[in-house]
Amino acid sequence: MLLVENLSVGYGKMEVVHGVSFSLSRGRVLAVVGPNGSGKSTLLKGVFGAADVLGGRVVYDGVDVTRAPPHVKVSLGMAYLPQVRGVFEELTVRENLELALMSLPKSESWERVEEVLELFPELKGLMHRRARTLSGGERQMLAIAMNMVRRPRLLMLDEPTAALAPKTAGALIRKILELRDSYNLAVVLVEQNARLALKVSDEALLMVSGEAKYLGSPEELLNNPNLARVYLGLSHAG
Amino acid sequence: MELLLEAVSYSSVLALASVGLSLCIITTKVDNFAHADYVVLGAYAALLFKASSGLTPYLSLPLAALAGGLAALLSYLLVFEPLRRHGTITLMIASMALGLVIRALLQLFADYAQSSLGIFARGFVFRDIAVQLGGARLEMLTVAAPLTSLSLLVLLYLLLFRTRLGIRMRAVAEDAELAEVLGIDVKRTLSLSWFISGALAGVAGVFLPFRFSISPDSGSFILLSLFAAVTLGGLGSLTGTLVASYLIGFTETMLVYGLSGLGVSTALRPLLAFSVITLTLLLQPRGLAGLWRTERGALP
Repeated sequence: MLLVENLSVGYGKMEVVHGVSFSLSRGRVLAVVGPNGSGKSTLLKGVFGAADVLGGRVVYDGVDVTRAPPHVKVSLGMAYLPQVRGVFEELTVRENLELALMSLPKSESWERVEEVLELFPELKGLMHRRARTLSGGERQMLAIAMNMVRRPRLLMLDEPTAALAPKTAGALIRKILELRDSYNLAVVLVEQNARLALKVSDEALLMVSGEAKYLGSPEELLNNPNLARVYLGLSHAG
Repeated sequence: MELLLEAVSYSSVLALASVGLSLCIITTKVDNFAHADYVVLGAYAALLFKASSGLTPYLSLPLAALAGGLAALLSYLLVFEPLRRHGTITLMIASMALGLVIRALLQLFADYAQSSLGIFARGFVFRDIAVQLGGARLEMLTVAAPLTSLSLLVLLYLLLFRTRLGIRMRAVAEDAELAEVLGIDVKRTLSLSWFISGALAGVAGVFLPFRFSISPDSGSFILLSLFAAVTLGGLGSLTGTLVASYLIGFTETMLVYGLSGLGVSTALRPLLAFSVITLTLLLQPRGLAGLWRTERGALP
């Protein structure tokens, strides 16, 4: 469903990601891990069209979407949750969800939001609260719910557990896996918490200095003493 | 009473134009120095309408709104959208240049209107008509300007807080990149914001020639009052700008009245706006909105 071929991404003329390739099918989770500044987030932005693609191509469901703007990619079923802010803080929870509905054809109704709220029951009692008054975990739930309203087939998450308490982070990851199973989603998960990401993923991509250092099984990566220890700071057989 | 009505009508005109400017600042982060020139364009649209139809300029409100709106829309599409990611300083300088271009075009139009159409188009004023209201004889401006301003600002509030377009506009104002990520057509939303902003300025322009003589470069003196209102209101707050417009409008009207009474030149009028900008930036940089708002990014 997603094919990334020799993709180079940057900002203006500055290349940050150099010729990365991977592919992903529906119902699978790809964990993108690596040290700080290795280009994980930039890679995701490049795939989604939020950073400049300097070379290579992105094919989604057989369509070349390399140069398509983000709103077109969204309409094709790609969803992207940015690293820092995934919600509009000055809008209420209800308005945030309504906004997510707006990129859909007019025939789509509020029922879609209600359907998503069944998956995120914790948001039901918060509908009239401004997003800035929510806790970190609630905000991330809202951000994912906003993306799910559009029933994407590919969900790309940039460090969704950043700044969350370990218990909340674990609950969020379980929710993502639940969504993957319910909707047969393809998930690209960029994570600073490599151990957590590798444990729940089906495939792993290790980024180092803007290049793909490893692509394959997460277990193998976890058990590779050199890669796991040197680049991820993980002890052997984590 | 007459002075009070005068102050209300001037403040209402100021509110229309400065709320429009505030909308540009909020949505696109552009301190648009060309905004006052959309007001002048509205005045010229009214002049053209009056000269060609012989009807009262008050009927030219839709035409003036269209002229101001289209000018603002073109400004956004041709100048500010291509430069949107180049930072606020670049956008501000571009807006100054744009203001000069609009004034030059208005000069050309004034030349053409005077020589070919026989329309007196420099330093023109409109003569007002009187209306009877509850036994009192009032100038139309003192009724039309506050009513128009109130109606349009209520409509703007409803648009922003009761419609889907309003949610889109507030979302884009808060974080355009995130809105784009969620599939919102940011360019289209900003185009609408700019059109609305220019349309409000155009409408304000219809009322100005009833009190001031208007020339192609009149934007330069209006601009100071507009920036005083948005600065005192708190850059990025529509409610603050609205309150500040009335404070400045009332003070300016009283000042002019007082200066005239003392036999002092009313040319000192801009001094008030200048002082408001300076004192606000020195003493309360977040403006009036800073008194009731703790978080940044909200429209109200």
